[in-house]
Amino acid sequence: MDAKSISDWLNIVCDKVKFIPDRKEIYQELNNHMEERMADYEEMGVSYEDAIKEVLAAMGDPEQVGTELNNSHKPYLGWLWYASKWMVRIVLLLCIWAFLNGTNPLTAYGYLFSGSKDFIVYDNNYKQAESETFSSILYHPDCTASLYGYTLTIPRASLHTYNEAAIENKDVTSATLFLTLRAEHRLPWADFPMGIQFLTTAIDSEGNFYNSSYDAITPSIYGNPTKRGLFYYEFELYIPNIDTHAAWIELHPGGNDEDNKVRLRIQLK
Amino acid sequence: MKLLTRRQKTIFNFIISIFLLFLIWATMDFPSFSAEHAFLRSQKQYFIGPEKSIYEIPLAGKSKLMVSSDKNQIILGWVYKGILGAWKSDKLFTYARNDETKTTAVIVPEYAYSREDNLYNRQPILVFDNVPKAALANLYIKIGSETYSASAKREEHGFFCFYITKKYEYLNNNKSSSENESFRSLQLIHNKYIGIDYSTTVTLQFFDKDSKLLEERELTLSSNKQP
Repeated sequence: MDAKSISDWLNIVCDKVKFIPDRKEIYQELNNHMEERMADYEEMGVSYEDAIKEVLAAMGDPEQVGTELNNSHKPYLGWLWYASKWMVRIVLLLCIWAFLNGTNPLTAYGYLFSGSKDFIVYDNNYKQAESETFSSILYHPDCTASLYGYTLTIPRASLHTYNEAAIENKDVTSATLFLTLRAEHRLPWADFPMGIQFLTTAIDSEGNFYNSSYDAITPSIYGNPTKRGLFYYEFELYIPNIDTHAAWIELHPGGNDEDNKVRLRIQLK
Repeated sequence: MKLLTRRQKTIFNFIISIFLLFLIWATMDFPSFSAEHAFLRSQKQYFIGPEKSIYEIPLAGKSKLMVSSDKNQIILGWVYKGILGAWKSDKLFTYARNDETKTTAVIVPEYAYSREDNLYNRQPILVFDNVPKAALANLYIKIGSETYSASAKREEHGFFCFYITKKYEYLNNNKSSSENESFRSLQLIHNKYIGIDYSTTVTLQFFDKDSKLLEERELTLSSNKQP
């Protein structure tokens, strides 16, 4: 197909490009290029008609140029690119909306960015430390257990002993064990292992059994989840009325179910 | 000068979108994409199962009660559809199974009604284990001073789900509130409540497909606990 004018030539080229949204840009770019060449010829004193002929000849067969351009402006890639642009916009809007409306573990209490939140139970009780009637011992037990994909550790524990004999003239000594139970996991989306809060039981070296918080008429272990990181959760638990003669206490975070029976031992003496 | 080709820009946009989608998922606290998955995840949270659900009780709005069981217990889990259609679990209760030779009856606790519920006037009672191969069953239960009854068909996994219709509409008058109080007491069959046994006797009649009475038996409701 012969082109008689620049616009003819451009239309033939653009008709060959199947990805329609690109046609305007291609038309504009080639048109600018051809106009520049026209201007060059006119400066050289070539007549307008001859300049057109020269430019069209220099640009080549429009059908061939159009076919080549079509190959480099593949429709599937073009539409995919358009779709990807819209996808980014929509997802960005959704992201903003989700931040404003979601449960938002990134900002909610005790969640991802609350790593600096300190150890409440210890802090409150340390305020009473070192009086005549009170003493505390801090432990860093070296114990690990694995349960349902969580690696359980006790980073710290503290035994608080209250000796009321000094003030009441009675031989009354009671002890409470405070501890942090940490559940590490590999997946950021692993859920809060609520079983720790409700199922954990314990036994000590004297054979005393400590019920879970949700078990029975006489619960012995209390506590709450207190901290969450991308790869861990932490619970603060406390066990009042620990036997003061106990040399160790063993926690069973999975409860008494034989299938879940894992042990974390804290050596007290 | 173009820094990236169209192909590279497209790939870049997809990577950005995937990252943003992950951020949205994280912002929503990593919800599940199905009710079943949310239920399985909630079981893992309490170190039980996970056992696939065998029955679903649809609740109002976008929540469901999922029923499952293992050899020791019946598991009830509440799941709901949150924003962007993602599922989250809400609460889990387990009920001790007597043993395979004894029938276990479970009354669904009040918790199921906490979300805009259509079950408010339809109290489900589930009956499991050692259930005769009956096509139909009737249940009679005395709650407070009233006797309630319900019929149910045998479900696919061999248990029955009865829906008791409350007798009084919820109008804040004495009768409806005392009725609700009675139901609530019954749902709190839990050791936590200082050993008070709110339980009551349930009478079950089993019929074959020709409505011929096969068997009649009495049992007490199973106690629940949060796992």
